[in-house]
Amino acid sequence: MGIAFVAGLGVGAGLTSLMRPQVSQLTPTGTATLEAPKYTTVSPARRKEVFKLGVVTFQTGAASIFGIPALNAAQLLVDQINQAGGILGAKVELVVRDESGGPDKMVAVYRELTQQAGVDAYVGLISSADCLAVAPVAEDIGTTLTVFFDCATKQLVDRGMMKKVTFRTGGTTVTDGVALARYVLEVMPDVKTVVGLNQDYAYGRDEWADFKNALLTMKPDVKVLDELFTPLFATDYSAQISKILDLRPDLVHTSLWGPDLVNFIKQATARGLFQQTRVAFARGEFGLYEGMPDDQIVEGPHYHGFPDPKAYYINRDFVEAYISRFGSPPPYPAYHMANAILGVKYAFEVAAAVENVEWPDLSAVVKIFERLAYATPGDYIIMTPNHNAMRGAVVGISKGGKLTALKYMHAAEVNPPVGVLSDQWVKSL
Amino acid sequence: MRGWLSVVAFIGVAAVVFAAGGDYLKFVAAYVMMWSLAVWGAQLLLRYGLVNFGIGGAYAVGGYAAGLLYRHFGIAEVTLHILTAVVAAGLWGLLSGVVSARVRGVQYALLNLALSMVLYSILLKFYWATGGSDGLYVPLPRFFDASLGDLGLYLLALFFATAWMTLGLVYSQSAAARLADGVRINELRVSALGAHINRQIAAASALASVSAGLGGLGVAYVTSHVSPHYAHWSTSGELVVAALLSNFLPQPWGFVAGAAAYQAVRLFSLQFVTPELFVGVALLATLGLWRYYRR
Amino acid sequence: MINALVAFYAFFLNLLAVSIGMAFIYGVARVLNLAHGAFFVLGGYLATALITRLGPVPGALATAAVLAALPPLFYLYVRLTRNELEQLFATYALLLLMEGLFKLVFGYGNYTLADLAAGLGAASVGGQRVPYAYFLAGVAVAGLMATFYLLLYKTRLGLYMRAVSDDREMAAALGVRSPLVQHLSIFLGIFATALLGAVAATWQAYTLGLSAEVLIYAFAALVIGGLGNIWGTAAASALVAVARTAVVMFYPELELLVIYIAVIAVLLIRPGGIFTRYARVA
Repeated sequence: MGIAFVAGLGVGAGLTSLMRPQVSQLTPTGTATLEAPKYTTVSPARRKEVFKLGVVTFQTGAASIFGIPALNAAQLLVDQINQAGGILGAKVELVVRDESGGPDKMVAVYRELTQQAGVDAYVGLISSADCLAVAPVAEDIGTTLTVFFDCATKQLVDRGMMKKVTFRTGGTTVTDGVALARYVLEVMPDVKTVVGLNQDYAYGRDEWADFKNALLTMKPDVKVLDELFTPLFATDYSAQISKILDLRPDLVHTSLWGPDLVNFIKQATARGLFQQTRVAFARGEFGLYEGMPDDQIVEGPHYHGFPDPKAYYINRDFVEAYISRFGSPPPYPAYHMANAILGVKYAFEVAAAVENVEWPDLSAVVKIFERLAYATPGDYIIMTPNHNAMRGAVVGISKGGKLTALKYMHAAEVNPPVGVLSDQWVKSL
Repeated sequence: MRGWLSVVAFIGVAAVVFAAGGDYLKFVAAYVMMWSLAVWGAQLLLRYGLVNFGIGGAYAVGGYAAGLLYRHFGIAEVTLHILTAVVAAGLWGLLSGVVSARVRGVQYALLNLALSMVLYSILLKFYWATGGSDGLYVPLPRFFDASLGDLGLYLLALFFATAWMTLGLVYSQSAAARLADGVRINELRVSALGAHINRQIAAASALASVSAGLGGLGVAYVTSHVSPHYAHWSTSGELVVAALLSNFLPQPWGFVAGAAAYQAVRLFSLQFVTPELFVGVALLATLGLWRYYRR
Repeated sequence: MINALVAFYAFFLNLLAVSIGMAFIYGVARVLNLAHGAFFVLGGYLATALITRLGPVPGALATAAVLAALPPLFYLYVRLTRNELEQLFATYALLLLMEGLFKLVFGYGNYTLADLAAGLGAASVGGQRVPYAYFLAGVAVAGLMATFYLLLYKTRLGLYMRAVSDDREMAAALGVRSPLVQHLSIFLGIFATALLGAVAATWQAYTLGLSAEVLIYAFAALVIGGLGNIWGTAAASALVAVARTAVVMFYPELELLVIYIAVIAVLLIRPGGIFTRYARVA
């Protein structure tokens, strides 16, 4: 029986592998990444019928609160794009995979989507570790436009990991930290003491470090009373709340998300923490829907109320369509996904127009994407030659489950310029 | 098909896969062959009746050997990586084996789980040295100035898998295997017959950890990345489940087939709305089939 | 000081809630239930869903009714396996199945009754705000522990359970129907776990992926306390809560490691568990 099982698997795998995907092969030259790669297309690009868009994001596990709204937005946008004629006349087809299993599975999924399923573009990845694992592989294979839509690690930029076909249409932990620090200093110019409460992994440490460095550079007399790091998905924050209640800081910084954010808010509210100190949430938008107390500093980093839907029709249409289809306003992962998918669409369309062909090849798309600026529901995305987006952030004060006193921190004020390392730039503020 | 003939047949199948398969299939084959080494290690300990939920520790040690050597010393030489992985994983296995040989059952599982999670936490915390939860980049290894390339990596994976099949064949004829079966069946009797059980378990733990370490090294090569996730107990859990699957299949190639079956199901499941449901049902179906054919 | 005590108390309750059921399921029946966390989480999901829909009292009754239906299902499932390895395999598959069902039935949101609990108000203890819900939860858990105490130490069945947990074969030789006792303790353990999960919904948010995290804590508390009795598990929960609160207060960097270090330390020094008299390490 075992033999039959394995033989069956082998036959099935063999048959599927023999059906090779029909994509034009690109051969990058040289192994040095400093020179611009030259591409040669094997077959002349013709108009396509179907544009396969691979989307990889969390559909299960605790991070699914980000992944599922993102996927919702993807489905919404794809339907809208198809109704308007598709991308260059090709109907967009979503190929969705779950982001669970760790970075090594994500590398396998990337290869499956690009080499087996033959997607025309890959949009994905919320977890920084997954992005950092997939980026070198994407660059190495070099056949498919790869767009990271949500992961926030600054290493992708600082280490120059995105040179050929990889892009990120979002900001980094530096964007979050500097925007939040700037807003804090505007609404609390006399802040003296701060405590950090973040999750104990690279994202939590990066968010805290970037916020702390920005705050201390802009106001050196602030004292950091303590830096607390909690295990990911720890359900009980009573010890940390106790410690904060004892320390009595002016401000608490936190980048907690998901169930951790909800647990913290509920437990802190029950203990009366918010009466005593103010909390700045680096990614607090979800907290607004889960009982965020009033008068806290919340960074979205996107928010459905910005740009004001009454004035900005792109956001109005997006929010209305999302609410009517999914029942609640779009959270920030939906905006991130919109940034990525629209980026892909415009890159292909503009490249085709510039090159004056029916279907652009990848090198043209990459060249265009590096300098593309486009309007999206939540933002105006400016792509830069280091393949990362210049993107602003929305910060505000919470009130009744909504965000008020909104301020949009402009992209140029919260992102380092191209070629400058993030940490160096923060120190120079 | 048993014995040496199956090893030869396996080489043949692997050659066919490389020649006729697409890029993705070659990647999955290399990935499975490397991962199967860790499954072999888990299976070895299962033979003693020991369920080791901490084998991810050795698995991570192997992967980080390559990652850290490259990150801090720029070394991409495959022989050095393998040597470091073997020594480090062997030490890890010996130490954890000596420590955990005093207990059995769920205490053994939990002690090893705790040890691997301590390693996970260390890897996570010292992130300026180990890359933290972001992990480390692992380049394609070099063999004396020549980069291994796709074919080289595949051959390395094939070499490992066949070497471990051979090892499995040799092992199953050895006295150590008889002892292992004895310990699983009735430990008191075996020790009354004069065996030093704790020493045997420590040695087996070292061997299993070396296997897992080389498996982790191989997977890091194939995916170009290593992260603390390797040491997490959920990775150990996957290895244990694949080892249990492999127990249903005849040796010496059972561990590769079990690894392939598990990975096939897991990778296939990622396209569904709930991958876990799919994997759970698949595992139950396998158990059901096994019981049906063995009744 | 009050704050540290409140922190200890909350975490202690948390650990106790997840591990008590395990004491019956593994301690007495020796069933390695990897889906233990999933039952805990299921209790929380059901309680939140039913109580928010039906109101506190009918919701609670409905929850209890559904939870009472769970143990027989689990029991039948486990009976299909023949040895410990098959149990491991089958309960792992069950964990995956339940997580998948959670996604399909409950979706991806956060389920919690904390808002309802917060509505009960708070007391001021030593200048600090302590929610009434914490006291209520403590009373509920204490009540459950008292019930278990009465069961285990004042009834014949409890006597048999303790005997079977010490030495199953000897108990059988002395005339105890060991298999039946084990089956009953599986029932009890599953019901208790799910019920405590429902109670824990008053301070905790449930979402996908939590089942696996909870499992580790349950096993750790059980192993540290020793497989013999629920008091051992309770004492172990207290010990780990003290350790963790102290670590957060004085050396927070260790928090990620503290429970694993506790497990390693105990298993090295006293493998049978801290609070057992006759240590059984297998």
